[in-house]
Amino acid sequence: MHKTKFLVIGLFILLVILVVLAIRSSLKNENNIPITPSPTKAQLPKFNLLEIKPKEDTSQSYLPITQIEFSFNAKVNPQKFYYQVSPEVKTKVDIKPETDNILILSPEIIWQPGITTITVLPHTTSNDGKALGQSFTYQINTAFPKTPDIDVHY
Amino acid sequence: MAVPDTLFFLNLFKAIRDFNKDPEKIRTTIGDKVYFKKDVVKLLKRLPHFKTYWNISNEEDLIRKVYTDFWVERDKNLAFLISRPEPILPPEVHTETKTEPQTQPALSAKTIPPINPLSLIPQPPEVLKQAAANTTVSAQIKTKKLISRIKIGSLFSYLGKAVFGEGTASAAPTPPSTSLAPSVSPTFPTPLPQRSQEKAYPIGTPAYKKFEVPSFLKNIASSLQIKAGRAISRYGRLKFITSLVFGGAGGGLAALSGVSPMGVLASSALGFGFPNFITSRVGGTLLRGGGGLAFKAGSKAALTAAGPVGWGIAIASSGTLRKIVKWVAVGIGVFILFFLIQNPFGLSKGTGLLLLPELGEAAPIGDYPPQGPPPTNSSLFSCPVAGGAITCGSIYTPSNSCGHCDSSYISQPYYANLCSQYPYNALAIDVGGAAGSPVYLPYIGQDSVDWYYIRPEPKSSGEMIKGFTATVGTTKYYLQLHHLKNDGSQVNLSVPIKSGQVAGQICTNSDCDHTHIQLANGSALWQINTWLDAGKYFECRII
Repeated sequence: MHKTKFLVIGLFILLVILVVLAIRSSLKNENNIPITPSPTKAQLPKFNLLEIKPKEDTSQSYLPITQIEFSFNAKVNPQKFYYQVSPEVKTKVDIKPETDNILILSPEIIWQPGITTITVLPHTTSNDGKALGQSFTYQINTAFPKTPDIDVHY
Repeated sequence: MAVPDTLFFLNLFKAIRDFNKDPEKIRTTIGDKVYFKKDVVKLLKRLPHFKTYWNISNEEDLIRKVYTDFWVERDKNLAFLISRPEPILPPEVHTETKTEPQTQPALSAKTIPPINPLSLIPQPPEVLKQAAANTTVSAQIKTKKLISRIKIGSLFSYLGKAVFGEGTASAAPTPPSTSLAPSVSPTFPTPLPQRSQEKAYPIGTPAYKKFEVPSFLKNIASSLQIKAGRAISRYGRLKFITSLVFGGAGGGLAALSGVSPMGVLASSALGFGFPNFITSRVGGTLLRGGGGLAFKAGSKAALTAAGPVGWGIAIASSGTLRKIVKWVAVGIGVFILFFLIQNPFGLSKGTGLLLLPELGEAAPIGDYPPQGPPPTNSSLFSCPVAGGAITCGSIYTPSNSCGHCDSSYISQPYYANLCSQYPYNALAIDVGGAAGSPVYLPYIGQDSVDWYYIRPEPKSSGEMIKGFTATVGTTKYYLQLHHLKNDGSQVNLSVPIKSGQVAGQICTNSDCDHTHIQLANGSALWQINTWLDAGKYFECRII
C-alpha cells in the first residue's frame, strides 16, 4: 500500500516537474531572441550625416532665426555634436522631439545676416561610440525679409 | 459671420479619420441600404452651412476644403480651433438652408460657378510650390478616395438639410494674467476681456487638455470599460477554478499520504485559489485597477498554483520517509517560486495574496485621453493689442469680412501687386488699435517669454517695422510688427524684453488705426520666409 502511495506521489511530482518545465520552455520560446552573428568590422555601418535641412543653397536667403536640422544614421547626443560656426554666434543644440538621430542647431538669438558657415567636426560621435571621421561644411544665407516701404496701409 | 465651432471640427476630424480607416466603423449596411451613425449624420447635416461660409458651391469642393485645410493640417488647426470663441450661427442661415431639398443629389451641378479657394492664394515662390507638390498630390488622392466613399448610399441625402446641432462651449485659454509680468513691466491698460462661456483653466494647462470630449465618445469608452471589466472578472473566475483544481489535487495527494485533506485544501486551495478569486471579484467590481490586477494575478495563476501542491504535501507529511517527501516537496516549491516565477518578493501581484487593487494600476480606460496625438503646437499667442480685434484676418482666417490677399483684397491693383511682391502678406493679420496706443509683446501658451529686439526698420513714412524673436522649447519664433511709431529704438540682443512689455506704439500718421502682424518660426519647412498663419496663432477677437 505504501509502495503504491510513493509511486503515485513520485509520478505526480515527476508530472508536475514535466508540466512546469514544459510551461517554462514555452515561455522561453516566446521571448526567444534570434542569435545573429556579430558583424565583422567591414560590415559595421559607418556613422554618417544623412541630411541637413534646409538644403544648402546660398542663392536663397532664409530668416535669421532659421533652425538647422542634422539627420544622422544613428542615435546621437547633443553633447557629442562638435561643430564650428563662422561668423561666431552663440548657438544651442537640441535633439529633435520624438527622434533620437536628429539634432537641431539654433542660434541663441539670430544668425548674423549674410553667409554663415557651419562645420561639423569629425569627432562628432554617435551614442554607440562611432565617430563621424570626416568633417562636413554647410553654408546658409540669412536675411530679414523685404518689407514694403509705402504710405498706404496694408 | 459665423465661425465653425471647435467641437464640430473635432468630431468631423474623427469621423473623417474613422471613415478613412474603416468605412464600416461609421455606417451599417442593412440589405441594400446604407445607414450612417447618428453622430456622423449630425455632423454632415451641418456641412451646408459651412459651404455658405466658405463660399463653396458644391460638396466635392467642400469636402476637399475640410480635408486639405483642416484634416491634413489637423494638429495646427486643432490648437487654433480650441482657442476659438463659441460660434454665433445666424438664424437666417438656418432658415435659408432649410428650404433646400432634402434629397439633393450628391454632386449636382449648380448655377453658381465653383470657386476654388486655392486659386485665391497668391502664387508662392517656386521652392514653396515644389515642396507643396507632394502634399497636395497625396491630399488630392486621399480626398478623391474619401469622396468616392462618401458617395455610397444615401449619405448626401442628409447634406441638403441644414440643421444645426447644439453647440458646446469650446474651452479657450485664459488670457494672460498680468501677475505673470515682472514688476517692471507695464500692466495692460484694461484687463483682457474674458470671452463669454469660456471655461477657466489654470495657467500652463496644455491646450489639448482643454477640449471637451464629445459625449458619444464618453459613452463608447464607458461601455468598453464595463465590457472589459466583465471579461476580466470572468477570466479571474476561470483562474480560480484552475487554482482550486490544482490545490484540490495537492490536497488529495496529501490525503493519500495520510493527513487531513481538509487542512491541505485550506492551506493550498484557500491559500492561493480563493484570494485569486476574491481579487478578481474586486477587480471585476471596480472594473479599473482591480481588473488589471486580477488579470495579472490570473496570468500567473497556472505557475503559482503548482506551488501549493508542493507546500501542501510538505505540510501533510510526517515520519522519516514523509520527511524526505516533505523536503523534496519544499525543494520543488522553492524551485518553482525562485527559479520559475523569479518573483519571490513580488507575491502581492502574482499570487493573489493582495486583495485590494493597487491605486493607479492598469486603469487607462477611464481616463479618457484625447483621441489622437495632442496638438503639436499648443502655444497660442496673446493679443498684442489690449482687447484687440482682428480688423482684417489672414487669407485662411478671415475676420471682419476681410482676409489679406483674398479676392476682395486684391481687387485693387495696388494691393494685388503688394500681395504678388510679398506673398507672405497673405498670412498676416491687422489688429485694430487707436493711433499711439501701446502694442505689447505677446505671451506664448500663457507663459511669459523672453523676446529679443532684433530688427528696427524705419520707413520713409515715419513709421517703423519692428522684429522680435523668442524661443519656446526647441522652436524659435519671429514676430514682425508693422505700422508702429518710429521711436528711434535700436537692436538689443543682450537684454530680453518680457512678454507683456511694450513693443512700440501704433503710428500716429493719418490712417494709423491698426498694427499689421506677421509671425514665422525657425523650423517649419525651411522655405524662404516661411510664415505662419497669424490668424491661427493670436488670441485677438475675430469679428
